[in-house]
Amino acid sequence: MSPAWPEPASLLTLITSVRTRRSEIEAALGPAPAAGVITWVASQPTGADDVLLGHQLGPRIERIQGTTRAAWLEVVPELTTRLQHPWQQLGASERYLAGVARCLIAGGTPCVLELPGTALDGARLKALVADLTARGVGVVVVERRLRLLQALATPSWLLDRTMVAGPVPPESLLDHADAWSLCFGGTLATRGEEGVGGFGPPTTPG
Amino acid sequence: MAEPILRIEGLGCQNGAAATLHGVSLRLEPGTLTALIGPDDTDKQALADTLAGRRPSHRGTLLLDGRPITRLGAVDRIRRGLVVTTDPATQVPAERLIEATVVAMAGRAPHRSRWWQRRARGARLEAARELIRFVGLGELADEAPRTLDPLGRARWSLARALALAPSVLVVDRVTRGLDAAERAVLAGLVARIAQGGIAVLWIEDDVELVGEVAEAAFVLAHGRIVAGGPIEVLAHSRVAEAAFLGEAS
Repeated sequence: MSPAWPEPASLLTLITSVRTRRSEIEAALGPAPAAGVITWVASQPTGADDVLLGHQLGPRIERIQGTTRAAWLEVVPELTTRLQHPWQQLGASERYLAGVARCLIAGGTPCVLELPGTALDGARLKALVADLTARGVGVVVVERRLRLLQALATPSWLLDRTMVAGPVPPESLLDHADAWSLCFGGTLATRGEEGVGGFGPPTTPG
Repeated sequence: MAEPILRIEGLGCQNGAAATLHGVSLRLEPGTLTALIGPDDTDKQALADTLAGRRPSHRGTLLLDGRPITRLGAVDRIRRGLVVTTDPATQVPAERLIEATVVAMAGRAPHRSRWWQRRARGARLEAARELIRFVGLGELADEAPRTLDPLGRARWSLARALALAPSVLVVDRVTRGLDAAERAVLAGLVARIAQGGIAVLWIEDDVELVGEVAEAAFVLAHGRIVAGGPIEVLAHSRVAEAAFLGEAS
């Protein structure tokens, strides 16, 4: 058993080490869904994606017009009170959510949320995932913050470069040595055939 | 308590319009090993780049041995004694480690460089060989850097930094790509560097690893230092734990 890209309207959570790269995540999840466009929402509020996003926006959010603007505000209601503000004044969470909105407008599914914990707390992340899946988007959450992942109440796969293990039920995350190791910057100690670790049978979402 | 050799006061940097570091303050004393850990790579990269002078700081002050270096570029910071390790994967176009080390040593602080240039070639070679031995590459001194395995490249990254005769050494995530046993070897080497009198700031992903050797650690999260202190105290810090585990709500 190994993780795969989520079907539309479903969620996959991955716990990765800081050494894990996008290419390794893609390799672990297998071929991309034929009908989907994988979009990545980067964790860095100041990354290249974000700069591009700001460039597209122009100096003020209110310049976005019509259905695009409506879609933005639907996904990121936080922006409703920020329409008069320069793009640069947006906070980290608003920028992150704006990145999600951009993926939605582009029709991206699955949508990969990289390290949302840099910008969102557990409650907001849970609401965002619910919103996205309700819209039919397949969501991949890539995180290391175990309490944040517990809020999503779904089993998580562990992924460290080419090694894959799991899934780990959310209630076991904080007691799981390998999950703990990844969270604190370590690496997966568990290795096994087909990448599945030796810590109990896979658990299906409840 | 010894006088700090490096004082970082309220350091802030931005990427475009958004802040990536907010008021980071640290003090490093000679002969100590301080760890800088955190859940996100971006923060640690920003701090390493800002200290190295590869990225401008927009706020705050850096004082090296009491003198401001905030506005100095990367090369001048090295000449003053603040050295940040380079990526172990960096290719060094040399045929032999020993020769590359001699060349690297010539880039050290000016007063030391003049002393270095006056030395006879044999003495220079011997000093370079001693440095290579110190990092554990003695038997490979006549090999080409490109032939080194990942652990060897990490050792060589430390050697290149030490060749510049730093008073403050920032060890920037040199253990990447190494397995647990190899990382432990590197930790021992970094500890010995600090024991030699250099103030070492070790920016590292692996919390457990630095916990074995560092006297103190600081946690960088969301661009801020959110916790810091002796390792044994930090291990029980709820703030530090929350930085790594996140908050459910």
